[in-house]
Amino acid sequence: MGGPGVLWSSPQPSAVSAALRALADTYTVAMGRPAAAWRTWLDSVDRRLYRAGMALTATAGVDGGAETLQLCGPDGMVVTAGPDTGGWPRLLGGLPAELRPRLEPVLGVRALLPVVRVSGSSVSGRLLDAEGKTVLRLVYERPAAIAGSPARLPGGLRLVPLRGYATAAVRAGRIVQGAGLVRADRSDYAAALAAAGVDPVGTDPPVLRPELPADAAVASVLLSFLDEMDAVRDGTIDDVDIEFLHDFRVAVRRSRSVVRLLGDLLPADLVAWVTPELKWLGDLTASSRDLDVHLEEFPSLAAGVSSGRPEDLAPMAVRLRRLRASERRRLVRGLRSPRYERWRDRWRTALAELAGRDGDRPTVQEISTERLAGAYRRVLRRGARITPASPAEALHDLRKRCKELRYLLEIFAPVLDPDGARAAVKELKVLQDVLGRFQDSEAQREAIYALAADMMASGDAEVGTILAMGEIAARQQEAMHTARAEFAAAFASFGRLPVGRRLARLTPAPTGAALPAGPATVGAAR
Amino acid sequence: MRVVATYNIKGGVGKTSAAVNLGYLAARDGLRTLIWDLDPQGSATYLFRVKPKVKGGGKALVAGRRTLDEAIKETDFDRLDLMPADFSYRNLDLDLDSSKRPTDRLRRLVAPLDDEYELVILDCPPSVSLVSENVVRASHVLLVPLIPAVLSLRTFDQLTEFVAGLPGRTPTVLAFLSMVDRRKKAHRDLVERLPQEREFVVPEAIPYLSVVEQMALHRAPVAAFAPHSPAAGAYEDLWARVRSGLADGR
Repeated sequence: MGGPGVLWSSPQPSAVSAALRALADTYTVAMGRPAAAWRTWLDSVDRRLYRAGMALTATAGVDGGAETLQLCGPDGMVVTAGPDTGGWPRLLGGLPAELRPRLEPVLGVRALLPVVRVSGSSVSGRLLDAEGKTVLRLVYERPAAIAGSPARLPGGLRLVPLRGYATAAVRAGRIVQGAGLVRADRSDYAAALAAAGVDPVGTDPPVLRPELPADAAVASVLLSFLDEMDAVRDGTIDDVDIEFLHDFRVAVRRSRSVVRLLGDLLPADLVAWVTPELKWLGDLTASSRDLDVHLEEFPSLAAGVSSGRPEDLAPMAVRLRRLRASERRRLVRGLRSPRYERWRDRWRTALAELAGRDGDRPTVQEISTERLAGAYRRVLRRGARITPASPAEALHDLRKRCKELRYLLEIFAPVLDPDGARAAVKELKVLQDVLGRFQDSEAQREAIYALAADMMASGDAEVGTILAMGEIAARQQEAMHTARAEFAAAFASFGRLPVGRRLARLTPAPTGAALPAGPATVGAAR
Repeated sequence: MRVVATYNIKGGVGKTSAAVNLGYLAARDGLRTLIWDLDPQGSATYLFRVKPKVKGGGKALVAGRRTLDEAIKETDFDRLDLMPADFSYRNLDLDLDSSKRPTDRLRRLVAPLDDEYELVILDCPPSVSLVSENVVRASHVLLVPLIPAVLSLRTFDQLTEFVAGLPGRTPTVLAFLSMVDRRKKAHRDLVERLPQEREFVVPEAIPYLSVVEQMALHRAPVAAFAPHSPAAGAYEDLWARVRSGLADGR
């Protein structure tokens, strides 16, 4: 049912027995007793381990109890830990110490969840040479039942080489091949996912199909965003990991952008109804997400404090956690509320109806250039207006317009030249990075001021805590200044091309030529 | 990675039995462990049923033409690997003598295994030689089996003088009584007295029992084939002592 080594299998049930008999002609084959077990493959919801070529399994006896964890890496690395009784889902910090260093770079803040669970039996054995020394380990795996599925995970004979005995492994491989077994052409994890009917990499990002009427395509994309919200809603409510809420917010934000930029293609009454509902969802989720980010960054912020001790900031962490708990209660109430249910049902019904509509209306292909031109123009105009005296809100507003442009570049991908689109996104990312750092540090600074004022008012903070918080706020202020200073150059670089030439790079030649008139060039921002 | 050497100038005192059993117990307790059988007689290699053959022999290792990594064999026990003996190790002194920095070569050969193993046990041949000096330099703990006899103590004193006389960092010396025959009053007295009289002698002692000799028949550590025997219990106690010594950074 999975593990290190190579699985050899055959559709013929008798092939494994034949292979064992063939091995016995050359080696002594010592087989143990059958043992039944549950095996669970664990991964993040976005399959980070799968993408990194890793597999983590938890194995327990049929009666449950403690599990043995085994992590296999693409370089042949195998790390075993246990007995483990921590249960799932679980974040990195709750995993056994020997697994954490390997998983941290891949998993980040994401929790591990059960992905495929199988039950079955296997028999372990060994191949011995003339001295009675084990030269190869064997596992005869019987087909296993997949939990919640009528399908079965095929079995076979697993050959697990021993260090220093590569020749025996090669020889045994030839013998079992001669007996009719075929070497598995994919990992155990990939085989388990396939057998369970689980899509390992998820769906492609939503895009507007060029040949569709634009309103139907827009409705279809909005439906995809709603699907994403549905997929992560339970994980958000259960607080599995902070990325569930993040993904939920991204889907809400993208929906808002699409409604704002392409909503004129949808019925006006629908847009008038959904716009405040989407804003409500944005507001409902904002504070919780901000607090997640504060708490995630807290250890590094605390470690960098030089004027006091990191423990001076402990009351701040306590306050942040308390605020987060309170905000989460509000968030969960909102996501479980009748208002949310009503909104989702009505939104889904309306979008499904629009997405299925047929008729002679402008297609995505026909509207794409004009819409992208509008989005570019908004970014270039607003960016050009920003001076060193402009308020922070002007940069925040520009950041929103950049995000909208980015979403459009993503959903219009099928009608764009792939190389041109990649270059456009890359260029936009540079500007977004500067704007993001500016806004994030400002938001952090403001949050720390508000938190400090609140803690002082309630008498929850000592002088050392306030001073340490002041140092962090000052560092955020510095980061703001740095980003602000970088903005002019970043925008100058972004704004060097006129809209027409940008679109010519993005779309096939004829569309670039038919552009509506816009500003010829955008001067360097001051 | 910590390095422990089972060492004595005398032969037949229980060095290999200690190396094999302690290695087994360390691996059982979760430490990734390597035993290097440096004795050309290859007793530890025999006990693990591995062929006493290293490509290129000791000369290739000392000259840097081969690495330990290429020759290490996985034993039948989880987390326990063996660097086999080779008959050419009988010339290891000569090989070392003709190398650069001849007293530090063994330490440098073991050093690249730092990421892979938490414990390396060197099972040493009985002698005072360049190999011994290399072993002392490479080790954090020198584990010395002593048979309960006056002459054995005299040899031990020679050994501690030899270690103390070496330049630079020297290992912690831990001696234990080995092959103790409880029927003999003299042995019982020494087990009682020596740990109190000698700073380096630990109270844990390995009894003289036939089950220890049966290792050669079973070709496995006592702790594996007779885990509930008094001898296995004695090795457990000794391992607990060595482990705490390693954890204390001794």
